[in-house]
Amino acid sequence: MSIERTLNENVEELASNVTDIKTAIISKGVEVPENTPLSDYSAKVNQVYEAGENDLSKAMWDSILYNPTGTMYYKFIYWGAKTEEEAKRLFRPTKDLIPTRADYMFAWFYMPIDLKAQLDELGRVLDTSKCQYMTMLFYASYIKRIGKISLVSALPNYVTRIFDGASLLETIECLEFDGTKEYNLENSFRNAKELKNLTIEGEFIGNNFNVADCTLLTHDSLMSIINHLGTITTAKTVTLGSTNLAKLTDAEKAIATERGWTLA
Amino acid sequence: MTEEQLAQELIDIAENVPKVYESGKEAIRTDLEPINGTVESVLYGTGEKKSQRELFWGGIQKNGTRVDYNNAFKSTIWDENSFKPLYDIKPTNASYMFMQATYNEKQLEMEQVEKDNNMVFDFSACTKMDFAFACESFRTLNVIDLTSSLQNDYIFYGGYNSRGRIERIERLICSETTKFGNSSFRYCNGLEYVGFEGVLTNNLNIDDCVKLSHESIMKLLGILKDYAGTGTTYTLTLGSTNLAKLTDAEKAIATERGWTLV
Repeated sequence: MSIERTLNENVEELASNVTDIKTAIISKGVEVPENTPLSDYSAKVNQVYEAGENDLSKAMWDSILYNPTGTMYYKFIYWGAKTEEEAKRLFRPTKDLIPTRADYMFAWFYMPIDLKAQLDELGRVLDTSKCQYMTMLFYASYIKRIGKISLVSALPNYVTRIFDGASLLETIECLEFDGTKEYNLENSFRNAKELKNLTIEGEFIGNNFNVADCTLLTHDSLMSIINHLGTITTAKTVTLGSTNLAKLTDAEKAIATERGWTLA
Repeated sequence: MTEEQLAQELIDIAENVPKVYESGKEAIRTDLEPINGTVESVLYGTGEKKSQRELFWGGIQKNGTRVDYNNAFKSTIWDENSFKPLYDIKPTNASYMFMQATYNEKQLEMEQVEKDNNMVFDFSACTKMDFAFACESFRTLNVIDLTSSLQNDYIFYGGYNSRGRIERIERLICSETTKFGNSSFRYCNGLEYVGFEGVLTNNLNIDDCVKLSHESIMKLLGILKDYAGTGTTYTLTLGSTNLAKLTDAEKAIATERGWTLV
């Protein structure tokens, strides 16, 4: 700085330069409140980087979710992330997921993630209440927790293998049935060996409800299954498996058998 | 630090802010770590945190190991700022890959996508290509190698919506086993150039490709398998508009090889 210049001129120039930085930062969508000390600007610059990342993430997610209320068949198949932290940074849908077709949607989805918590954090929902096709929806995925999965619109034969091989799945917060439909749940819980928590809504009158591989199911989960079995006139079997059967009293088992079901 | 140096540093920082933003959008360095510190530390960082682009495209492309692209980009919408693959796309299955996909402001140019992202589309090992480019996403395709593909019907089907469709296919490589379906080029009424290569051994219907250049048609005639004297006849359906682009001598290239021109 020239020694001929006054102190005021120097300060004015520096202030102008800081204003330029502030303007540049604000132009990228990052707020810079009045009187922000210069020492805070490095953090603001970091936020500019994040703004760039977020804009790219939004653009990519908007691309992928062009039609989030239509077919989501195969949508996230094979997507992967090595860690839960990476998965949480990656899986950031910009729209609610309301598929009408969702078979294989999360099949081989190699992301160790609490899907319910992630969607809650983003203010997004996975709403399957209008979905007709859900075969292998979560097949062989690494998802740990799922919110409500409604099968009310599903075609009864298009819900097979829905959680088959979901090897890290611990919680399905709600699985909703339409009590008038005879769903075919063939192999829907096969190899879901970590499943502990399952809550049922609506009555089940369908076929092939088999949770024998889910030996960690809580007593509450088993009772939720039993309490939501509809009354049937033609004998059908719900397969809980010996480990789960041992968690129930005879009186609890009788709830099922009195409605026409065989427990195996 | 002198006042002059300080002023210059502040100017540098202001100028670098847009770069930091672009870095956030474009970064593919695995050592980028937004940390508290100087502009340089933000730009070049020291950490292992992946960028959003790395996460997103690494996720979709299984960190470069994905070969099953069946339905991968179906019903999506792209532009050059969002379609940014990190790895080569070398599918063994590309059925429905871009089916019903579209674009924002401007269609993608495949070769430009490859250059911009330092990757290639390689279909040489792909056995299923049906509906692969039945979309609006691309104005131009680069190398479409069908030498391994056994399913090609609807591959370039242009019947979805009405916005611009494929105009150029730089190289379309066929082999003895390549079979097109009746709708492989259905509604491709914007297609102007196809660089046919290899050999065509089976029926082909391009009568909807009314803008196809004379050069393209001549390339096609040039790859027709010679069935002369074998008693075998296949049909090349060019349609009246394309037939009118040919002289009798040019048509004879096909007929002398045992092909019927329609």
